[in-house]
Amino acid sequence: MNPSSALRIDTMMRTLQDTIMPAIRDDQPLAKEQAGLMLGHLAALQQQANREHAVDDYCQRLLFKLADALLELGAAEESVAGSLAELDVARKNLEVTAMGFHLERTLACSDTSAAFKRESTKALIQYAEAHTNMGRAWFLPMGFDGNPKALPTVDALLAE
Amino acid sequence: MSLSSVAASFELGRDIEPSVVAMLQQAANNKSQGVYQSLSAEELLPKLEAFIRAQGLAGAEVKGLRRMGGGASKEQFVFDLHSAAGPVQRCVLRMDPLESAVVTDRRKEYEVLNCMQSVLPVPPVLWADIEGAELGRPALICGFIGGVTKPSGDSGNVSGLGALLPERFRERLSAQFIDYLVAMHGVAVDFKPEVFQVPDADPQQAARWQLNWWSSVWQDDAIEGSPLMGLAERWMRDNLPSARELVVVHADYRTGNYLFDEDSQEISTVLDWELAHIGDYHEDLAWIICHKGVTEDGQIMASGLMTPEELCERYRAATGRLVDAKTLHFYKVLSVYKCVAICLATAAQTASRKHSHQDVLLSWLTAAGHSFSAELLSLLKEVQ
Repeated sequence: MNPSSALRIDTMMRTLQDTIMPAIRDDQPLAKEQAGLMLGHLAALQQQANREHAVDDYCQRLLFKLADALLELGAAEESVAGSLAELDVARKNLEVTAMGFHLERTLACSDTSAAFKRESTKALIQYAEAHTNMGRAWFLPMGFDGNPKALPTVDALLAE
Repeated sequence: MSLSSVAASFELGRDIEPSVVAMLQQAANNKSQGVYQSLSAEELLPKLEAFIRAQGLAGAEVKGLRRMGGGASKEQFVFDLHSAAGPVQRCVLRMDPLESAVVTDRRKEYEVLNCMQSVLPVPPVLWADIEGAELGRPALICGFIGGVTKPSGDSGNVSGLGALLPERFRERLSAQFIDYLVAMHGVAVDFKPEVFQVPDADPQQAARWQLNWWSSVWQDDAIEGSPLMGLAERWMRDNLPSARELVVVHADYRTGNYLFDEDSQEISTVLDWELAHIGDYHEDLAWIICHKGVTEDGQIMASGLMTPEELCERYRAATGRLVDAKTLHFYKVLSVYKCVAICLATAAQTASRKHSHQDVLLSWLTAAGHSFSAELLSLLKEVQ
């Protein structure tokens, strides 16, 4: 639709940079810093345009795969039976946020067998490698990553 | 409706420091409040003058009150204090917004700053409004100390994250950085119990208190569950180290939290004591290491100053304390776990509730949680 989101973001960035930021007095450092952060957010949004749903879907697929693995691995684990039952319900109802919390609490439980700990760690590592790579790649424009050259692009991760 | 902090589910004293539970419960109570409105300098001025006069400086006048930049958590103002008691004194007022990236307690900060005055350079603490009864929000007033957190012209990211000092600064600042770390770790751990309690009931209590503090913060504030944080919590519960010696832990000692003079390269003050507590000395070493800068040839520099190995060796040489690899690894996992909790949970929740004057910075900081998550995963893989 005209005007596109890209054009609107672009014009907001230009007005911030060329008009608003130069008008902020030097004795207003917080306002200057916050205007700079707005510009940074807009630049990141510009680079992320139109892909947020695809990234969310990718992360949800990873979560479902981990849920399936833990439901199978934990079938005989008494101490996590409650959280796994809740996970199972959330999974059937496609309640992704609840699934994330139940998975976390299941993995946090220390009172489980050595075999469950070992196997659940393997499943978690597989999940977390893909998930953290996507998180890092998605937010790369914000400049926090210490090793950006080693990171696949968002498009490459989505294409996997 | 008031929420209850997860911290309240632990056994007080044995498993968590009681004052930490009180602090997190107060934060939980604040969550249901409306949008935070900052005071302008004009609105703040009469309250500030009245507060200072009530401290015994009758006729004191506040001039040139204005906001400062920087900082992810407190509202900061600078002003000149005129009084008959002495020459004009430049001061800094630090006020809590409703919530911020970390939950802290002005009483602890006030007491530890007072204690450190004769030990290392810290801002002179003048007055505190612990509950915010006079100034509207809890606040601390300190003397102003000049200096920079990074050389001029160095852009860097927010809150000093990923800071790497230029090579010409590193040796001189590293030497002072170590000296001051050693000095603070040499202070006796006898504070009033309402300020700091000593986790010495059993050898693992120091580590357990910290784990329960930060797992409570994570669970109180997480917007979405993190299976990775669950695994990290389990690993830490299974691997609690025994403390060899308890010290005053600064808990946020890193580049970005000290000021230095660019010309002389002298550290002028050590800032941000609000997370200080009594704990294992490995905790500060791990925190320093986890705040890393990376040189162009890929060398990791703890706090952008020196290699992690150099930091540990210099600390060992200066104190005679053993730096135990397993204990250090535990505290590295805990340090990064804290960073994930601060970024992905508390910063994000505070911004979404519009509870800080720095919401735009907090939503920016949230994104750093993904790099910290990758670091957490890497640390956990090392011990599988």
